[in-house]
Amino acid sequence: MSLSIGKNNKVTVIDRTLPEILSGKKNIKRLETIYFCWMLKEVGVDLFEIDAVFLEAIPKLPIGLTFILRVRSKEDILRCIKSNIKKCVISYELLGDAELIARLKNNGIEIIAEVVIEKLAQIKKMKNLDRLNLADEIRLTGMDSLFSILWIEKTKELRNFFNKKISICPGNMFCDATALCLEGIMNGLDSITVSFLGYGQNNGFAALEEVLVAVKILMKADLKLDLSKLPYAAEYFTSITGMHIPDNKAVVGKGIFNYQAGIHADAIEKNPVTYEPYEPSMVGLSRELTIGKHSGKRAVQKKLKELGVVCKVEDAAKILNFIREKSTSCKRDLLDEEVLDIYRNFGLLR
Amino acid sequence: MLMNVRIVDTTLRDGEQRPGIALQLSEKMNIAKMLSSIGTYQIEAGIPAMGGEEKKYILKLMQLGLKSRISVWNRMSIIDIKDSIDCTPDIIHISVPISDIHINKKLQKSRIWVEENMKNCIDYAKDKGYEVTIGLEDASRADPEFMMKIIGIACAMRVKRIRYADTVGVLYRQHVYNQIKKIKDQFVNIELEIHAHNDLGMAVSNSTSALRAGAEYVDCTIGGIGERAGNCDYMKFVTAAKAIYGLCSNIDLKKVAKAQKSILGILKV
Repeated sequence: MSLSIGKNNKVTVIDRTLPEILSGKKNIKRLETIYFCWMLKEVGVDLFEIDAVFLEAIPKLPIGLTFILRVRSKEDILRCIKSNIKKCVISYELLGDAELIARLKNNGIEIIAEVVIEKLAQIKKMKNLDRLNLADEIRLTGMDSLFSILWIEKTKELRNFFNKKISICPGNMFCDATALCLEGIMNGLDSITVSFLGYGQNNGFAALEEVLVAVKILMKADLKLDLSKLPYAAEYFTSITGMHIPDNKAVVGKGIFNYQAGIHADAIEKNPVTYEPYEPSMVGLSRELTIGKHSGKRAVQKKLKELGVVCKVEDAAKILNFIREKSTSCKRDLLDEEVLDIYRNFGLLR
Repeated sequence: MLMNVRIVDTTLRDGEQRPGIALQLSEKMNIAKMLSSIGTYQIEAGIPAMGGEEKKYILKLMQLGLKSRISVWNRMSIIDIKDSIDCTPDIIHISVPISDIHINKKLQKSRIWVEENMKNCIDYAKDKGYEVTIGLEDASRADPEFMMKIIGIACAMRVKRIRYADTVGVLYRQHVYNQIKKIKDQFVNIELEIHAHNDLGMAVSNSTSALRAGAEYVDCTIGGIGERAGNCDYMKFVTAAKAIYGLCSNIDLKKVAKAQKSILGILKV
């Protein structure tokens, strides 16, 4: 399918969440994992990268999803053939194994050669790596330290030199993997490799959901994808891994569209675009007004209205201090019933 | 260009604004002490205009004589600034809505109103002898020409530092680099502060990119807490700034990790 950014700009999205989950967990449930993959496919993933460990846990791959296998040995070629996998990822070093390469090619398996890049200068030097001609596609990985935008130009030169597709798989040691993927897409690279939530060993990768939303809103691309299904993917992820997703996780955190502070609440009431980067429903979430220490009088008035009580803004102002005190002493936001109680106790509710 | 970076921690202002967090006076004092002890240049302590306990706490905080400089956040309002002056902070920060979205849809005012009101507020606070910093709220969605005009006015009024706020977290590396560089090129003597939000997971990388373009101050919060998906994460930023540029040499990551653990415990997040 590929992410369609524009007429001549299509980007293949590879997800590598599955082997990362398996590296930290011995058993995964086949059905849940397959549902999870389907969810990811629906929000934009084209290819699922797996490894031999995954094939041992789930030997029978589902139909309708496309997998690529990380090949580490000759035995893995047999696994590719047996599971009808047509594309693989191998390290640059393995490109030197003539027999392995010949067997992959004889079996019609496409090769993505992975090269670790730590410094900008290494991209330029890659032109000296003749072996890369054996690959069908070149993947640059690592890349955590590429802070200068010059990496894009050098990567484009590399693509022209080898006349091959270029894929990137940045690591996230310095919290810039999402930014690197976005830069790659903005500048016409062919493919990105990411993981859901950026999940993975050694600081993880670019977060699939962040990249998708960034592309959609910053490049104003009509991706023709239903990102409102992301919360379901998040639920499956939690179910498979047992990992709690923080409420403020970008894009999929359940609380990212909660609002409370007086200035924000007032502005969001006038027009949500003032303090929201995009419409919550786009990612399957909704905004919620919470009442607590930072609430203002208009927010309290609105909350009471939601609870079926019509009050004047002056009356809402009268109970503001009680709300703040209660919230501070409880160290949390107030429940609807508590807001009503305060209003009732103040003698305003008849 | 990369001379140094100073961290402005806003855990006690933008961080506390995250729904679900409600700190008591003593907890805020403890957090401020910890932030100061790990080498934070400036602590954005809160919003005096909230009144009551908030003002009491900031006054008490000032009496501690912490190493960090203490600033307070203000809407563009003389009444707010009067509340701040009551607290005798080191710095008065005035937030100036700069995008038409904020000027028209939030304030239902005009650009001229913004200009005039900002001038009055700067005048008022400076006249009382306070250092003033200006925050360009929603700068990333603003008309660059109007933004430059406002910066020019602030510079002419001897404001030394401008905060570029990506209020809804829609910046990306190339864009923030170009924006900061353009401001630096036009206003050579102005100091710039970056305030990034993490809505697209890029708050840390946008902040490091701003540094590269010449920003000297970076706003952070402990654990990256803040409105929506939060702000630039203190520890992650320091880790990146050390590794990439060799900056933040005065900050010990082990101490930050320890403080982060204690502060997140207090915040209960």
